Amino acid sequence: MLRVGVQTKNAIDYTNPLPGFQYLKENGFSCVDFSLNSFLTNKQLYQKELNTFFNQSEEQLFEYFRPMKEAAAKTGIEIFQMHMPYPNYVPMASEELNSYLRDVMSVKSMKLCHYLGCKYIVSHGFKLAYFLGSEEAEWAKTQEFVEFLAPLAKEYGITICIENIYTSIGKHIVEGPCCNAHKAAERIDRINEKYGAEVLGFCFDTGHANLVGIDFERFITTLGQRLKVLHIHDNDGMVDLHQVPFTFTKTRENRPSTDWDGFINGLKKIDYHGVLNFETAPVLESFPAELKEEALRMIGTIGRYFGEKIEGE
Amino acid sequence: MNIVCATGGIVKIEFPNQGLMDIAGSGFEYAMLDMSKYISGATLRQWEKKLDKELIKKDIANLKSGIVVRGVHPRYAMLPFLAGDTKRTDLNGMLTDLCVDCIRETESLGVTRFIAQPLSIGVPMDCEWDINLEYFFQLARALTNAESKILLINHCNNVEGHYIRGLCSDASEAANWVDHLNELAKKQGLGEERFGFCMDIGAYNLCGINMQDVANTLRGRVLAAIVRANDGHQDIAAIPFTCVNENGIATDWMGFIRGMREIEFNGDLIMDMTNTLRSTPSLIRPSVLAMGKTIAEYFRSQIQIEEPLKKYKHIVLFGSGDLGRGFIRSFGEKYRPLFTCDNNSARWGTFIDGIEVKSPECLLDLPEDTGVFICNMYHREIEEQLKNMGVLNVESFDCEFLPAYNQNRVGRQEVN
Repeated sequence: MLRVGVQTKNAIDYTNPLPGFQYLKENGFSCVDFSLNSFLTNKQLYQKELNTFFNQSEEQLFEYFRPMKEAAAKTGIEIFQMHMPYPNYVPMASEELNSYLRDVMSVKSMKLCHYLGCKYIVSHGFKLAYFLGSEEAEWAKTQEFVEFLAPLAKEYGITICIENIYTSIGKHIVEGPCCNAHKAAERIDRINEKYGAEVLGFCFDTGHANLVGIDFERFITTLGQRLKVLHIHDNDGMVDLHQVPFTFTKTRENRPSTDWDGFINGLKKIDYHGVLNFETAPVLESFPAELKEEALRMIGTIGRYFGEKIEGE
Repeated sequence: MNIVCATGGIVKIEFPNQGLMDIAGSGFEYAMLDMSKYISGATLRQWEKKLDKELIKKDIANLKSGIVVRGVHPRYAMLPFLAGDTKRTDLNGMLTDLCVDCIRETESLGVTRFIAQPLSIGVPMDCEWDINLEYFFQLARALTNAESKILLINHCNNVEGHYIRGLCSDASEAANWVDHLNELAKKQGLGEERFGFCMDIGAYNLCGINMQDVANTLRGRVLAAIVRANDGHQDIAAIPFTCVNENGIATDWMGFIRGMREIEFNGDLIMDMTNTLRSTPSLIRPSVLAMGKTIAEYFRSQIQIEEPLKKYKHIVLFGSGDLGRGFIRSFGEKYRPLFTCDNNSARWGTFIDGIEVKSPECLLDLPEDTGVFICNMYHREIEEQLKNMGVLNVESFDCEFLPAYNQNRVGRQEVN
């Protein structure tokens, strides 16, 4: 049976993680997606601000997350994937900030990933096409970043997962880095061949894909075994809401406007054996506190439904 | 590059004269007959009876008389297709017959470019190529003019009210299909280059597809582009630059222009303003059409942005701000300006990438055959200034969509 996971953000209290892990376990989650990005947020970074979290030594960081590691082990929950803070490059920021993101933040993120026994770390590609004039030039910068981390990834047995993300022109959402499955597949293969290890893989984000009308089934089948991890969440096709699947409809027939059948078919076709991971932290904020546990339980139930459909005949 | 006007929203097929008169009166020489509107997707999906071929013939005859009188050349026909939310899966045979009839009837009017959406409704994913190969070949076999071509087009699928990428939205898939079709057509004696591609900007925009990338992948296969705006959510054809939100435009014109420029596109721009025209009172529709023509000419000038630069032996710029810098970063090597100038005396004597900023007075002492390119958003005001100074060969250069323009806006730093 495919395992089900969820983001730690809003589900786990990092200062006292055991109850949160126990609750996840009781509700059928066997994996988590560690939200390291909560410790240096994109909002801060886009305002060209840094905090001091990653200034801590490796030992201090390990000590900070030791209770989480122990709680996960105690409850039998695997930290299957984690999310590196993003963006990794801020176009309008100083060279100092961008060097920090590469030399300090990303390296320590990799070390934390290894410390937590996590095999997959999701990292966003650089959003630079608008500035540099082409997607190819943009990818060249992302590739430099990936190759900077690749030796460490190989040493630790970690796969860095690039993710399909969006960008915007004004408020109009358009495809961002890694929205072309053919290109992603070719690039992943080329880099992995160069390093002789699976240092690069893919994270398919259903919500981001829905925003730019990606055909889930085609995209997933094109990626095939390069698809390592998932960010499952839903939206209205207009805003990146990170809500519960099956929430949105657009017609009076009230059928879901997100192509969940295509999602299931795609994963079935590639014989996906990873985790059905939900990136739905905002759900736990949108429901009242009294219903938070119920909402989390529903997410777990939807995950098991997907699992049954994907693995069923 | 020809500019073509889609007839949707302006030409009523039963009474075509006024619409054709408006199109001709707005300066359009070419038209795209919108057969998809003639027998709409909504009509097709409810189709139960045999097609009335006589009706098609009658309507085409009607059109023919109007075309002859008004002098609009019907270069394109958009063939009928099923609406994206069609649930019936048994209509592809009927649709193929209808498209073949439309080709036969409209080719007699002088149409040589037939735009056809791939069949996708009721087509299993693993049979897409085989079924469409047969479909496109049936269309190609109906062509009688050696110059006529079938243009494949990207489109969207409708998943319960939400648009997702349909067949040929993926540029590499589209390129493969066009190449294979041409190869097979040649082998079967149907002629050379019988197939090409038409980029539907509106359909790309609905799915936020990177059009610059698409154009580069399709390159020489793109023979036409349907230019229409939408808000990224509704499948409409609005006049460009009118679909906006509080942060700016909602259609990625930058991606479109950059891509077409990079591939040196020299096909046809088809202006589709169907929904704007339908929503405009009849009395002022000619003004909307005229605006559409002006916008099309703007796109053509943007795509062929280097043409004015080629006219002169030397060039000089007016402007040392972001737009002037954008020009120098984008074209400074290929078309090296002698210098740039600026009304701001504080900048005189400074350099941008080795190009000196001088006083506008220096424009009075230029070598022969020098073009003065205004790289400043106050085009008209500066043009007047230069005219009053007696400066010759003044050209306005719109830097809005330059490859390096936005890089300059990023704190004027190189990204490295």
